[in-house]
Amino acid sequence: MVKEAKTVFDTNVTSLVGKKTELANYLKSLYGELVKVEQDVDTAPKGFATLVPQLINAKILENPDKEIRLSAGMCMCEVLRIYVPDSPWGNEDMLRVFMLFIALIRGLETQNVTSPMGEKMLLILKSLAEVQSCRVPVIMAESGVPRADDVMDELFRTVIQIIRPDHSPEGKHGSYCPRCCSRALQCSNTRWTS
Amino acid sequence: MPSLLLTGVAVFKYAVDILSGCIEENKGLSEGLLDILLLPLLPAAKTENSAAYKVVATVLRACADAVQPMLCKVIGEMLCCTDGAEHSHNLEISEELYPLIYELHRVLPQSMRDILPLLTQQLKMEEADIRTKATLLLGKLYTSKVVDCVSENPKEFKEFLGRLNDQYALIRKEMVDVCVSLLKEQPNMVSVIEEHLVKRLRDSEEDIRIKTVTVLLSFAADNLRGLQIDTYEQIASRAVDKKFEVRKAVLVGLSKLYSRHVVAHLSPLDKVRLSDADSLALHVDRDVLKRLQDVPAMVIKSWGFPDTVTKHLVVQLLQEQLLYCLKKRNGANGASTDSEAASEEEEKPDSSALRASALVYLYSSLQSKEEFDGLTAILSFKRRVNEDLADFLSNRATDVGRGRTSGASDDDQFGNTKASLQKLLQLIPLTDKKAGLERIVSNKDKAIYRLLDAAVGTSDTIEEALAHRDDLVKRLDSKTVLAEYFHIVYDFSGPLLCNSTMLEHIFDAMIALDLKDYQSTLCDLLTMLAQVQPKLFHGIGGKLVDWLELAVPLSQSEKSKKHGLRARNMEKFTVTILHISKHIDDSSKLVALTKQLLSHLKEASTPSAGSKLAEVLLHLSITTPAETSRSNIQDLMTRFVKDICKRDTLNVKNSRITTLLSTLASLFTVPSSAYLNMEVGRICAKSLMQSLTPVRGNVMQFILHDVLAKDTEIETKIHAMMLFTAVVASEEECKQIQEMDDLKDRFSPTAALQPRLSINPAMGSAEYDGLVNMLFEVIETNGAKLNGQDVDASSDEQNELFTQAATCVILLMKTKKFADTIEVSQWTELANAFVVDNQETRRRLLSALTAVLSIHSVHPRFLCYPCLFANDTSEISDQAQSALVFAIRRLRRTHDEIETKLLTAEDTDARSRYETMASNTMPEKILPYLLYLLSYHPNFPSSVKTETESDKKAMRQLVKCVRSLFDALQATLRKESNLPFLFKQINQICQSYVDRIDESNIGLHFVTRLASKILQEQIRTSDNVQAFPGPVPLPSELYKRSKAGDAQKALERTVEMVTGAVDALEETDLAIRQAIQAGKSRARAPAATMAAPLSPVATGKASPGSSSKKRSKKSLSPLFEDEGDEEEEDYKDKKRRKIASKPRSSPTVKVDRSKKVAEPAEAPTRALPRRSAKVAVKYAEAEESDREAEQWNEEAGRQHRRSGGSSRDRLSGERARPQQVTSSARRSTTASSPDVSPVLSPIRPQEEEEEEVDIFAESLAVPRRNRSDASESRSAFDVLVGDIGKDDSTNKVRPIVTY
Repeated sequence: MVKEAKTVFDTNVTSLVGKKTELANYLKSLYGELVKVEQDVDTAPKGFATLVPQLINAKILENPDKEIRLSAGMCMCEVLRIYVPDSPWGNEDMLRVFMLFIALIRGLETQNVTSPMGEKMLLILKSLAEVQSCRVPVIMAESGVPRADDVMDELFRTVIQIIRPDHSPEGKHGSYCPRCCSRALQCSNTRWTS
Repeated sequence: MPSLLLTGVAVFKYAVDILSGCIEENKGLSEGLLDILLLPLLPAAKTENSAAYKVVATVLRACADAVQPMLCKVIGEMLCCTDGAEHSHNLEISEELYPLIYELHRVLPQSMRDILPLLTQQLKMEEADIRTKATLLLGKLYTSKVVDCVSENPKEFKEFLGRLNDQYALIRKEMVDVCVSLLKEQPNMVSVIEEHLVKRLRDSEEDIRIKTVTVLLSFAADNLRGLQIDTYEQIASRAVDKKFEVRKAVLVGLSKLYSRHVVAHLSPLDKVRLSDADSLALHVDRDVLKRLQDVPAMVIKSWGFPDTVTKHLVVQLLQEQLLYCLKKRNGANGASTDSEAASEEEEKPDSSALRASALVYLYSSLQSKEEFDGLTAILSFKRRVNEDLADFLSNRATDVGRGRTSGASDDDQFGNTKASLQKLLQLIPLTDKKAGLERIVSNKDKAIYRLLDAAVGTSDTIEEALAHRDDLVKRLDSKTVLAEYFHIVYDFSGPLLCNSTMLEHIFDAMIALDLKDYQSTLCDLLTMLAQVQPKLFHGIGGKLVDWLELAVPLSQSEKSKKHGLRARNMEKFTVTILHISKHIDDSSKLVALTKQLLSHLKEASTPSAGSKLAEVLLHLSITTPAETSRSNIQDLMTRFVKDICKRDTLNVKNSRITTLLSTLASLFTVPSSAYLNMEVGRICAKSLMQSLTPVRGNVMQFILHDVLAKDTEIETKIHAMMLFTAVVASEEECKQIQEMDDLKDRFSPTAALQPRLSINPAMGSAEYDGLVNMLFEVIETNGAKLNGQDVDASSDEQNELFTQAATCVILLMKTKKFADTIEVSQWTELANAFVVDNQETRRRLLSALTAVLSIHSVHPRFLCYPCLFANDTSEISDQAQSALVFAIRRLRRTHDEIETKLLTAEDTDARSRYETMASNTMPEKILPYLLYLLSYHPNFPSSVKTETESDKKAMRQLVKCVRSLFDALQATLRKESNLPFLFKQINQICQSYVDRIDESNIGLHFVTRLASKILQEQIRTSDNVQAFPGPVPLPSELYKRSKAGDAQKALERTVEMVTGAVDALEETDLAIRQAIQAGKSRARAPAATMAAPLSPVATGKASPGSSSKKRSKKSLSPLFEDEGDEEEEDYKDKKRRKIASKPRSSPTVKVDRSKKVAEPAEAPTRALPRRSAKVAVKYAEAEESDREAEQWNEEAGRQHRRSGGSSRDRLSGERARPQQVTSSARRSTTASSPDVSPVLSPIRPQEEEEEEVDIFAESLAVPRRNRSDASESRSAFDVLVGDIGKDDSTNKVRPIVTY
């Protein structure tokens, strides 16, 4: 267990960039480990600090493979959770990460949340909401970070855009929603954390 | 695995969390982010993606505090730019700003507190479009259930309500809509809205008025007390709206309310003690009554609208809403959609009892005469339709029967039926001409006629009547015009307003119940129904007798006391009896009724009650069909008369002497019903003589010796005088009737004009003369003397004596003897009575005169009396004019009939008789009498100066008098023209006739001049000015030919005696024109101050009837001298004069109408005394004469300066060019009779005359002469006929009369 963890956090991610399958598998593994990490950077496993900067490698963020980008995004969400309230990356990188998030969750506009990819997108969305990492661009914008305003606008626009009529708690099954809503969220959490 | 739904909800929740988190972190919201947030709220986006809308809504609610400041700022900025100014916000949002705000009020209600004031500002924008949008939005916001904007923004709401007065109709309309919603959602708001909304009842837009009425009445349907009393009054005031739809909304709405809240709670007539006025409405809420009590009056008043649609609506509402109506209907028409509370009640057994109750209550709620008259008019109209429909059905039945036997075509067969249908159509006109109504005539469906028969009947209950009507409409195919028309006919004709069962209920109530305050109402109602719907009483007239047995006489029994009729109600009830007696089938009942009435008559306490009861008894005695019963009744009456004429009863010491005298006077008066036909007239004469002959001696002895010759009470004397008149007049009338009967001629009401009647002068002749002298003595002394004795009484009593004496004289007018023997002085004296100061006296005299004119054909000289009322109050003058038109129409018809007989008569004597009769019955003959009478009118202006207001007013009054006659004469003509005849009369008077009694009466010619100018207004075609070919005799007792053969010469001389009369008469001409113009433009003058009597004492005029030397005792008869020969001579003489005449001065100088007559600086200083021109001519005081001469000189100078010419041009008669005949009428006249000039050149328009003045002033160059030269050169003749021109080439004066 320790060995495996060590392997994950100690892995040179940059070396895997050209290897699509390996990278994908690695990111899945990494996400599986990251969710286990407590929300305290001081208690983070060894190698974690080294790993975090590698995750925002341009070849990962801009990887043509959507699965890889989604897995990476999920991992970044977890990193942000662990680092809260600090920022794991610099302003510029942070904005790039959020641009990735935005691009990924925009997929919900067309993707069903029950599909494999949709589930991942929902996880990213959930992380942004629950960890409230969505506030980062706001803080950055207030701090005068260039382009942070645009990112924030885009985040707003996207979040609204991805809402579909069937997402409404008062949709045609609206009567079930109030009592189902919390349970659904619970289930969702259970699944992705188990 | 979460379901799709659940994961979807998760997305929703995460999105909300993300957005809310960002906004919280941001401590506010940038404009860009706000735009992004607001976009999903727009209508299109909301429709497209409601979930996004909900996300945003949730976010905004969650972050309200953070969002609201920026939100209000952005919205405020965008609102400021609604007029097109640029801003930095999202274009999509700014375009959909108002819907967005509406969404925001649902999403973020608390934001409205800030946004509403911003929106309210928009209401003040100049652009109507912006105001409209803001109004619409605000309306939605204020009526929203989401937030109570009204309570939170009271100031803004008040401002918003102010938009009900917006100048833009659309906004006002929307505001009314908003009020609908407001009242619906928040009824408690009515107190705030009502005041503003009521103002819209007077909106200029029909739609808005209708909507407002609907809003208010819809609200009132459930909250009757929610609206103020004043609001109901305001709504009711719209019942006279010029638009039918508005009126309909008001009438229908209020009637339904009345039906639901008042009628439905009335007590049935047979289950209530009518002991107090409100017992019928005992269960009706007081507040409801206060609000709705005037509804019946309002509906009834709407009957005054002329269109059939409104009339039908009124009748429908009366029948189906204002009276109790049980039948449920499903809204086939506007007035019958009462599927409401009233009709939803459990059906009750006898609707007629309830309807009777409603009718009595409705009648008791009417107050003004106008309202009572309205209801009477409705019932009268229903009766007429009923009669016409009955005629139609009867004719059709006859035509069908005839067709079966003859086999004629439809056109031939149904000729009478179609004529009846046309008659019905005249009564109820059809708006749609393509109706094809005649299909009804040949309809084979017998059921249709069975149903129409029911409409003619009187017994159907409301349920039956409505069922029959609906069945009829169905059978005629309800969509067709035919069906609609007969729907209306059925409503008008059918017994839906009152049926005989309802009447029975009313009678039963009167018999069974204790009447007190309702007695009067019920009596009035029955009287009215008896007058206008006597058919309803058919078969139940006996009930009246049953009830009278209880009510009359006032016996001592408790039962009788309980039902006893009060005296005043008995008076009313006699009228009822009068009208329904013919419906009492049982003759024994009539005899019983007579006994009842006689017993009551014995007890009658007032002259009025006695008089009316006597009228009814007399009526019964002559109209009872069964001879035996009639004979019994007459015997009863004769005995009664004998009883009361006994010496011990007919005694001045009897406390009831005035009642007895009044009763006898009525019993001895020939009733109007006697003139229905010859048979009734004969019966009446016989009955009267039967009653009168045995007691005549006693009666006359009592009148002449016991009352008039002794010092008795003035009231007794008055009644004795009236009885005296009644006896003398009835004897004369009976003689006339008898003689006509003997002649076996067709009975005619024109008895007074029948010369073939030979009156036996011996019979009561001395009494007759004595009566006439006595009456005129009273009139001349204004009631100060009677029968040669001074009347020691108060001024009121003297006035009463005067009025009754004049009334008696008027009653005598119907006798031929009076027309034959009246003197000129008496004739003018009677005219005095019509112009007394006391308006009540005038009204009473006119009523008497109208009553006589409506029954009898009187001599034309009496027909000028109504003209004297032309300047009275509108009510009096209208009545007088109606009476005049009626009398003239009848006279003209008589004249036409006589003319027809004349054409066919072969016997010389008959021809001669008919010629005389035709001449005497020509209505145009009234004119000379009127002119003569007016020349002695106290208001007769001085004719010289009419500067003062009183002069001008007098002129206008004079014009109105003359015009009233001309109007009446024209109104009775069809196509023919009477102008040539009238012009000839006028010209004769102008040229060669003078006042027979007072030759110097120049006033007569002044009035004639005025009449000619008024007559000129009526010239339309050349035929109007054709010379009348035959002789036109003038009344010889009033007019005589001038001794010199040319009356104008005398006048010329007299005018020349007055210095400056030339100008003065021109002034007079001007005044005449002004008065005529003023008469045209002026609305009906208010109550005119009637002038002093015609008596010369008051006017200074020499009245022919005065006690002066000139007073003539010459009788007015014969009516017209046959002056045919004289006329011939006159004509030849004129021709000779025309040839021999020299050029004379001409009155061509006219005063410019535009110039103002110089107003006196102080109080009007008259150059001549305010008397007739006749007196002016005689005026000889040097001082005033000089003053007047100076005034004329000054005026002449002014005129000259204005016209640009010299005074000599205008004053020189020699230079005066004859007037040119410019009008086509004149050309035509001249062409048609080359030797004959138009009679009256003033037919030319006034403008031409004025133009001529200027031309003359510049073109004529004759040496200037002084004023006296001018007066010499201009003859009085020219002055008088000033406008009459001369021949252009010969410069000769044309004769006035040229035929």
